[in-house]
Amino acid sequence: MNLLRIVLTSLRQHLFSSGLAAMSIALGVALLLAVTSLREQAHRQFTQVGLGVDAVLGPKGSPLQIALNALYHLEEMPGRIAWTYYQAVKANPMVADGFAFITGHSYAGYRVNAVESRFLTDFEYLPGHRFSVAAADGGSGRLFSGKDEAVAGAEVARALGLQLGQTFNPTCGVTAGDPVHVNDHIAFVGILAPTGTPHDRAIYIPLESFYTLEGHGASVAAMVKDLDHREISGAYLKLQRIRGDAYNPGVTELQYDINQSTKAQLVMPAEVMPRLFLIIGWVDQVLWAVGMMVALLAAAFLAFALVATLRERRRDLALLRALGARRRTIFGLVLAQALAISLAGAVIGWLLGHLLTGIGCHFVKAETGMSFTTWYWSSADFGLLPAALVLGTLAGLWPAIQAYRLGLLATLKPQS
Amino acid sequence: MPSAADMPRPPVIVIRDLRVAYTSQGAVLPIVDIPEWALPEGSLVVLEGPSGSGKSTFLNVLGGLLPPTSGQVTVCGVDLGTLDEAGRDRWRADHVGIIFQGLNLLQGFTALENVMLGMTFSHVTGSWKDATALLGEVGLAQRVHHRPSDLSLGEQQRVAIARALVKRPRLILADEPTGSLDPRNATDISILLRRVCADHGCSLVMVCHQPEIAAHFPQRIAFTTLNRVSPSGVAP
Repeated sequence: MNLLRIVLTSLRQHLFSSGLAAMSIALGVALLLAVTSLREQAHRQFTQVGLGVDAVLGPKGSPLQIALNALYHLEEMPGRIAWTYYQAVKANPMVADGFAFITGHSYAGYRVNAVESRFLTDFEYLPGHRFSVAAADGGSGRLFSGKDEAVAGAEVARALGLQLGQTFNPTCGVTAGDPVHVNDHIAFVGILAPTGTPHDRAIYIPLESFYTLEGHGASVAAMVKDLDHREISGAYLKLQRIRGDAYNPGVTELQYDINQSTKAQLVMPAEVMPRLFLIIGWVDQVLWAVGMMVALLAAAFLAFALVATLRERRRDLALLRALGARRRTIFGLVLAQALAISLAGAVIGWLLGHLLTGIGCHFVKAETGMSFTTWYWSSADFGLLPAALVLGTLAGLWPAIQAYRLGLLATLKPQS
Repeated sequence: MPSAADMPRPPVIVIRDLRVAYTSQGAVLPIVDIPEWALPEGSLVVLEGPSGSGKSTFLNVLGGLLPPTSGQVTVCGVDLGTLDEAGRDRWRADHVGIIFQGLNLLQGFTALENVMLGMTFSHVTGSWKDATALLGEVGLAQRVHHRPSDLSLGEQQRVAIARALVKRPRLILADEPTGSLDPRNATDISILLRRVCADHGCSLVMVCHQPEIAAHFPQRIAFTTLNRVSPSGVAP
């Protein structure tokens, strides 16, 4: 019989306390792993992916607010910019392409954005990925071609159970109680294939439709033809790059010029979004602290459980000594038991952590439209297992030392 | 020419000037003081004596569980005084089988696993088949996979005997193995122990309080004739 079998038999003998200790470790590991995975995925999505937008040309105001509104369909745009200014910027050699948009409308809690029709055909939300309504890609119907037509993002269609041909009345605003354009019946003519981006949570209508919605004033309605006075919420810009991903140095000058003007500002998501994490970083830290406390409490629980079972096992360990087991073997057996419990806890916690991540992904998808993955390999995947084993070893040290010091004869109590 | 049976057998235990004493609150309490004693290989002896006469302490010294205060103790050809604690553990694992009065078995293990534990820490190799055969030899062929809680005290002692034998030791030390058994079981166990030791060619030193059990042994030694310390703790 090998020592591993002795360890496993002992664990089986004290299954309840061993199981509780393993589960408490699993909870700590799961919490830390889920928090880390979601945090790293969010950080990556918010700061690195950029959703295909190099810069947002928007009104003066909070850059973070503009980025959240333009890219993630959150917040509200703090103002509008002139169409002519957008055209001037788009003509700058540093700008590779631009797509105007207007935000501020909604339907059933989802944003209704007016966009240039070429946004749906030419814009790459990820390198090499454009919007599609092809059934092969998971979409349906066609892109809009008329004033009273709309296409819905995949998540909107799924959540609302939309059917092609179904009509809706957009709300003039993004909060409950805002007025509804009751006389504007816009039909869904297409459902976009899933993109795994916030675009899945938006409804798109033609840019010109915004101006002609009933209830907007005459001056707004005139903007459909009067380009000199037309206003838009902003524009997604693709900037000129050199040597792969690096921006052309002229971009900095363009950004300076725009930001110095009183007409608009150029918001670079890659610069702005990390600020969001500075703002909400405390939430992350609190979750981490909770996870660490759970893990430390789990380690303490493991130590107590081992000490408690050690009391029951004193005679067993003394008998092993009588059979020839050395003190260091007994020390190793107890430590191996702690390691086995920690390993089991870490493995269960790893699975549980990814399950929690999966649940988190579901909510993130529902709230932001961004696709996180359950099996994302975060730094915690690589770090938590060894950390749990180290913690388990530390927790097992005290009971192992107690077992090492066990008095053989005093425990066996020979009588004559 | 003398036959092999008539040849003097080498001793399995040699004692010279053995002294064991405990220190309590600054006072030295002598427990064992044996000037000289030797036990020939293959002997089956029972040590008799009143409680407190030092029999179990003596047995612990022979098993390497307790280092003597002074003197030389050579068991199975090894001077135990030359070994440190780890060395004595290793030596015990290889050469000596020990049976205690009760609670001899590890509760979470089956009878067979308990027997296999007898070899786990030794250099002796043996198979599960050997252990199963030994359990059959002590009358537990049908109880191989039972846990101690499913066995009677007598059956548990049989498992302990099988475990002591599994590593094919030269010496078995039994500290009142029948002390917690009813008379019939006690007699059966003592007879079994004597028989299997004889069959396997190993020596047996057994401490016993029960004269009716000791009566089954060919060689009975009154411990007081070996130990110069009286049960009241008076040294010579």
